[in-house]
Amino acid sequence: MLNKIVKPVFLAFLVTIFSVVSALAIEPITANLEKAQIFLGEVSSVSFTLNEPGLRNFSFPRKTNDYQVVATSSSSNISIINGRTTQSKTYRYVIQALHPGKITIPPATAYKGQNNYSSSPLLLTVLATKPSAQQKQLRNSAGNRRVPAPAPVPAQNIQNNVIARMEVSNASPYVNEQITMRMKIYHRGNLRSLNIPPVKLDNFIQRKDDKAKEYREVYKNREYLVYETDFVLFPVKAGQIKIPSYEIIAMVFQERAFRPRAFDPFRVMNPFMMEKELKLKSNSITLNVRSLPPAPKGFSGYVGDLAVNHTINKYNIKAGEAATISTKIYGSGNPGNVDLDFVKDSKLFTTYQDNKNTSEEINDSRLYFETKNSTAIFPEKAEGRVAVDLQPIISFNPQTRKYEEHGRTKFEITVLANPDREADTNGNIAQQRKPKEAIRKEIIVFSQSQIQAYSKSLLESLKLDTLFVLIILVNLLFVIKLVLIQIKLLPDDREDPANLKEAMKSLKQAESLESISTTIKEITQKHYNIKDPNLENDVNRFISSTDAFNYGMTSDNISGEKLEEFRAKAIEIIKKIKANKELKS
Amino acid sequence: MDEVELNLVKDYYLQGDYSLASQSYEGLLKNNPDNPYLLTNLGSSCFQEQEYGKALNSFYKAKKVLPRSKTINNNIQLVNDKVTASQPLFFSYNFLTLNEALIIFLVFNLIFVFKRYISKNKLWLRFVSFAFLLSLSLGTATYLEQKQTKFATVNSISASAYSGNDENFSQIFELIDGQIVKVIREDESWMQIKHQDQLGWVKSKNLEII
Repeated sequence: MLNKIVKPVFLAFLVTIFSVVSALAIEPITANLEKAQIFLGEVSSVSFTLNEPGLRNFSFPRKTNDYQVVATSSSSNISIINGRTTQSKTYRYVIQALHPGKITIPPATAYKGQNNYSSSPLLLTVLATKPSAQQKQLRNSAGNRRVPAPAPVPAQNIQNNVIARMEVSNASPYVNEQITMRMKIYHRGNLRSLNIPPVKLDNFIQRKDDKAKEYREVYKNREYLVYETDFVLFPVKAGQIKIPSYEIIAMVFQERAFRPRAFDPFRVMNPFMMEKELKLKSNSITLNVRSLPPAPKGFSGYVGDLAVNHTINKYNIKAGEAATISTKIYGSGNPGNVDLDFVKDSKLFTTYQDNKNTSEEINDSRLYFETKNSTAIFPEKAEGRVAVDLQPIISFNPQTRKYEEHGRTKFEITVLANPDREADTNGNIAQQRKPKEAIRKEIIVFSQSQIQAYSKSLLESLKLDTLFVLIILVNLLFVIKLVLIQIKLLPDDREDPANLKEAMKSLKQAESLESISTTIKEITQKHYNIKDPNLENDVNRFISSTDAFNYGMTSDNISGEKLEEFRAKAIEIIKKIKANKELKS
Repeated sequence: MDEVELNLVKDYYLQGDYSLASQSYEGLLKNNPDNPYLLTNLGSSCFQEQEYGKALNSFYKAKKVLPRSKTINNNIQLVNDKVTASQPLFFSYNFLTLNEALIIFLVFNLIFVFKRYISKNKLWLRFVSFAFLLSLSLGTATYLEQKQTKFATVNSISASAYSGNDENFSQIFELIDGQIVKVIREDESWMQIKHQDQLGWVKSKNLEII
């Protein structure tokens, strides 16, 4: 009894397990029919997906007594799930039935090493219908598209079936405005590989979008498969700029010419296609790059969307500590044109900028960037409030055609007294106490405007030879002057050794006859050679009379009046000496 | 200067293509050999490529024009931090260009010659004489250091100094990329240099005069 129950249950379990495992196991080649039932003349598509990597020599009969292939295409798919990469390739054949009835689509085959893999055969039911209806249904079968499905690629039309075209998103951008250049290869499912030359455009700053796109597009009333590679461009100068045409080498599959004979040895090797190299030439494009309207002062050169956000880590700090301003800039322009010099130098604080960190991403054929930067602010005050004004970035918005300001911010930092720190009498923190590790540790480059603005100053453009000649000339002047003094063509203006002005001053202040006498003796005997006999007599007489008083050779006492008389006489002598001064050599 | 080319060079630099940026800056310098900003940017590109000798050479050439630039001084400091070898101390490079020093001397020379026509005040005369002597010393020192003395940077990863101007002579010491040496004499393909009071001959291709 138990056996009767257990046995079928066990068998059912085995069958279930087997079915589940069979269902979960991925076949090396899976076949899929788009429509299992069609009318005569209508098309269906059969897809073969190669799930096993390394499969070679894939083949599928293109023409039998039951059907014919009218179009082919292939695509690759790489997926990464939980860190595991899987790769598959799908061949798609659009087939047209040749007669009504049940048609068996034969399996496709492929090899891996010595192993031969094949897909499961598929069954297609073809219903007979009227010719007018057939036309209508042909359109429906193409998914209500307005254009017919890609036609087979006859050998003589191969050149027309692979086309290279360039497009730009905006043919008249502003200088530095972002545009997208699209390199499009139109094909009819017969493209095998492409060799696009490296694009290096003069007059543009460029980035390549590494993510190529594949899609369908109607071009000149024909449906094509499109392989698109995009470039983000920033024109750097105004005027007409030409993007030249590019030569692209494409390897395409081409249908062999019809071979009526039954025996064709090459059909076994490659039954329906041969490879051919095609040289495609894209069109050239001329852009009319517009110059920007007159820019306001401080314009950074940035064109495009921009968002600037400043945050500060603390508003209250102790003296000697730093507050950090973190800046985030987002935009869809050229990050090279963003100037990070927000904080202008001030006597109230010192700033130190950290390394900037810029990341770029091309999304939907547009370049987006994010720049992060932090600036340390060290207030110079020992206590009080310090206002930090952050200058805005001025950009040009091509959509609104206006200049815009971003990120004008003001932070007020309160500096609290720090007993550990010293301050001078004005409340300024001693310079030597600034933390050394905050000093900039980044290699710096000068901006474009600085490079362009540089012109040699007069000082720098002076040549060394010229300077030496000037120096020699000046010294020659000095020598000539000395010679002229020597030959007495120029008055001797050398330093007055007796300093007559000083002598006059001391005479006026003298309180004794002795000091008056000493001053006159000093000047006449040490420094001056008096040649005027009258003046010499006067001097001698003056000295004798003063000596007579000084050394007591006369019984008269020097009175105040007498002293003033001598003083006046001495001043007169000095004046005469001053008028006829002749220095001793 | 070609704005387009400048934009491109800047872009190369920002994209991290420092080799291309260096080449482009060198190209731009052919027409503007004394532009200190271009020289600095060339130095920065070389620094990013870890070519410290070339970087230092460019920075010092820029410093000859802009001796007080904080940016250039900062960059030189960074290179010297990487070189980790003792570098000679320059007297004049941090203060004045040669032309500035000579102009100061010229002005004080003029004042000295005609000082008495300005004033005969003793203090003034003493000040002028002192300033004249000071400017003379400054001008002479700057001239001797910047014009009469040649310095060179080592531009290869390492360079051997020999006792004579031939590889058959014995090796005396080794120099590393970014070191600065004093050039005593120049031969066809050799330079006699002085480094830390040691004399030696180094192949010219390994050195570049500042």
